[in-house]
Amino acid sequence: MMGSRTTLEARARTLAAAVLDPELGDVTIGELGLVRNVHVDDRGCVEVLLTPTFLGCPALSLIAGDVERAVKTLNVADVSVRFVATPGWSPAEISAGGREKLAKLGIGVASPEGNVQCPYCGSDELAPQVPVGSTSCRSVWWCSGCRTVVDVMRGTVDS
Amino acid sequence: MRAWSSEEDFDEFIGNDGIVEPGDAIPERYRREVFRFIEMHANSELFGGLCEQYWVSRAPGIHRKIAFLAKTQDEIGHAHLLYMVAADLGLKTREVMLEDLFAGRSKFHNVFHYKTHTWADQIVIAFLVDAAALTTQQAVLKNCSYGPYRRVLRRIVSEEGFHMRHGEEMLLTLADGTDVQRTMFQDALNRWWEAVMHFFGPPTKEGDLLIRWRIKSETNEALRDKFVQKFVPMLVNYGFRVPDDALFQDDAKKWHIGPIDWSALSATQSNVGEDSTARVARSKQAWEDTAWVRQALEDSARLRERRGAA
Repeated sequence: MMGSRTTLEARARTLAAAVLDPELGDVTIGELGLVRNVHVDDRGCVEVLLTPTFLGCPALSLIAGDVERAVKTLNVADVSVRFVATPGWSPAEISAGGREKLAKLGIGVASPEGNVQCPYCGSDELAPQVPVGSTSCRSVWWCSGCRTVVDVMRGTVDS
Repeated sequence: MRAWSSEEDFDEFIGNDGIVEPGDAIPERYRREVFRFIEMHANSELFGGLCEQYWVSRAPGIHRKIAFLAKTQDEIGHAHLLYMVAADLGLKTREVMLEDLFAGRSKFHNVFHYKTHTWADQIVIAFLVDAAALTTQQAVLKNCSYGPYRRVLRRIVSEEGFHMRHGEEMLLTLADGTDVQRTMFQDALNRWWEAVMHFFGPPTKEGDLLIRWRIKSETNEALRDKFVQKFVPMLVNYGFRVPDDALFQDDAKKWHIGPIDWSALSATQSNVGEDSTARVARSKQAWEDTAWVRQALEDSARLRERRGAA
């Protein structure tokens, strides 16, 4: 029984992680590091715990709906999606694959050492423009290397 | 840095799918055209944001309010990105672009020259106008010759897709709603349909520079038609009437719209539309009301610098 529950949790997690972020093209919420945990209870109900990039994110209800639909394809008794605020999300949780896809959209992510490079030309000559851009999880920088305006992912917990 | 000996040389470069990058010695006419195009896009994003901001306190329910707050931030953010790209072309600084806008000297999209009377008007804007904007932006993105604009547009288009999903959800709420809600939407559609058709612009003229230099790659008629084929059937399926008496579907299921009266569009083009003056005044007011934020950002940057130096 435990074995099948673990398998179900793993499958639900895979499905949840494959849900696309509604604002970021082909970037998944798994690649962004939003999927915290998946539990299956004795009745076979699945609970997916997600962490938002920031609490007021307007995409949360869309993401929750998409995750619910995706996990329901497993024919489980029930699916609930819950957002947990702590521990807070940070850009460090974005996977290598996620970073690559974000770079193609022109969105940079700081390295673990805190260095940011231009997602277009790789230059590190980035000048901050505004701390918060078109959404609260991004700031805006100007790359003097290729003279392009770039976004950089930001956390809201420690920045 | 690349340079071209003549406009004909430049034409050839553009014709071979060349992409212009900052620092290239481009023909001045190209610089002016691409600048005008991006400046108008930036102005329209800014007005779009202000238009949504007006509805934050009026939108029904907390979820709609959150969505409108976020969309406002998105649009203003897009305007900011676009003003930076436009400013880099060296014709006007961002400050001058804003000054011109507040003085009523600049252009912005026709749909922001009209009043929004009811919540349903705003849903028409959130769904149909955003869809129209997305249709034109996707076409620009596909093959635009100006590199920096393409890069920024890529991000903008991904975010606008999200807005449209939200707009469609709001439309569905009214379509599935009471008679009062459905009538409210139909009335709004009647008010806005012509403006939505105008949004794509009058028929593109032969020799149009925007097309010649691949700043945009599809004509206004082609884009309008693309929109009509996709959204007319959707509105019809939801049981709404598209306010165009000559509208019909041919045997091949293709929709044809009636002739368009362009008189209302010219008023918006010279900033004397129904709501032009009020919108411009409101944008100026918004800029003045937020002066303290810019001041605070500057002060905190200076403070951080001083602390860093100490």
